[in-house]
Amino acid sequence: MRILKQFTLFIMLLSFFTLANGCGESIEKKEVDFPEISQDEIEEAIYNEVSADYEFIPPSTLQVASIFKKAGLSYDLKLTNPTSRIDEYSTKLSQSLAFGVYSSDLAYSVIHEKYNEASEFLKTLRTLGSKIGLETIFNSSGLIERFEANVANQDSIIDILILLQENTDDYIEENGKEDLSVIYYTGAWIEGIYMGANTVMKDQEKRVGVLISEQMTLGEILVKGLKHVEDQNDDIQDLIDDIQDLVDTYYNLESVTTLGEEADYIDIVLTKDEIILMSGKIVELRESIVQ
Amino acid sequence: MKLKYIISFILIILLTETALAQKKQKKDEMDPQALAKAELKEELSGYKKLCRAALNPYRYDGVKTTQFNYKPYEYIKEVEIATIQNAEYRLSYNTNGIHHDKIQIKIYDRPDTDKRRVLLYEQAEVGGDEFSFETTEMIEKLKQVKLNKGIDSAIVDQMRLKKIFIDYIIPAVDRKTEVNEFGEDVMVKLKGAIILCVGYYNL
Repeated sequence: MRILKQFTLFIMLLSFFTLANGCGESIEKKEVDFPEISQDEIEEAIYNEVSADYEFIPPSTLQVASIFKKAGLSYDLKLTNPTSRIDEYSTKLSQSLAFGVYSSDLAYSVIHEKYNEASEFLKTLRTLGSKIGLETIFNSSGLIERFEANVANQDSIIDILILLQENTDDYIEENGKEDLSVIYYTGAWIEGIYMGANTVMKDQEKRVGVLISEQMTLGEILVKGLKHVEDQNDDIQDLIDDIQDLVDTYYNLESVTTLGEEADYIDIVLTKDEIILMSGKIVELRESIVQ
Repeated sequence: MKLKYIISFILIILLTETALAQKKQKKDEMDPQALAKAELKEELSGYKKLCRAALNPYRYDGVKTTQFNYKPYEYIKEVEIATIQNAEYRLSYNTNGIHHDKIQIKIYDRPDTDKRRVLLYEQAEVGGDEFSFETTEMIEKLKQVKLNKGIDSAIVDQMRLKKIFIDYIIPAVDRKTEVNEFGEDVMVKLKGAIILCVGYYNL
């Protein structure tokens, strides 16, 4: 009886393995059964894919923050986006934009050696990163732990920030997430110029005018980048329109129009009224993405 | 008792064989395109590291890997870079991802749709190499062209590059075919990749 049971078990196992192998074969047969596509169609599809790309390299948030500091902008925590707002961002677009906003806040804090604040922004970025598919960049090299272990050393902290950017850039390139990068860089850009614009009433207005004028070049690039985002929904369209409006306002300023086409090569010193006009639009744009 | 041993032995053989067969099947099932993509990713990742290292002493700003297909006609792929605050930039290239015909690099102040653009830098026969250069000479070249056009020197003195447009000119190649495993003629797709790392002078 016992022998019979063992034999039955053997037969059942044998049948299972045979069936399992058999199923594998049938899957294989299915996989080669592709619909026929001509080589020309494939070539055309590849060509369209390639020519539809818009490729650009924006400046890093660290570089922008360094430039603003060199221009004399001081640290004001109230200018940054509170980390407590993180749960308010429920859509992929708002989360991606917020990721950029907090990236700028992180760079701003690090450049001004405000490491406790920077640490909070880094943790917020990790949380947001996990929501938009960028968790790997924080998990792979223990960035947060390294950051906390090096808070007393600005050089090391800046190296960690550069590593974070390298990881982000690599992950985006290797996983085809260019659309995401355009959106989060837009968030970072808006936060950067917002900080500049907020110092208008202080004594650095001449330098701020130049910084705002230079940032409009980036605005133009981002509009092009956003127009190439695959999912052109209403929110993206609104964002494009708002940035385009800001850029158009800038190119219609008297200080810019008087220079003609050479304005493309010169850092333009805007008048106080022009700065106020631009600043108002920048603050409005920033509020629209963080609230 | 003996039967128990025999059954156990047969089971072990079967299990081992099945595991090996499944492993082989998985490998066979892996899409050849996905396999090629994974290999390319690994190759480019190595080049990217070298490319970044060549930025030293400039501080890393960004990277762009431009992948392209060779066609039976010449075409351009353009990359736009924003340069800020009159900083000097280093452009570091790794072109070891170009395994077929060499390409050409041309850098301008305006996009390829703008006829007014000024050629600031060019390099032919690009491929299978690593090199880097800075933006300083490009600015000088731009200023010289503007002066030659009669623009006031006081304006030219203030000029700088706010954007640069890098054109990769991909040469035309003859279509080649090969015979696949089913004995059919299929077109050979030739691909290439060029890596650009950008760094700025921080002091």
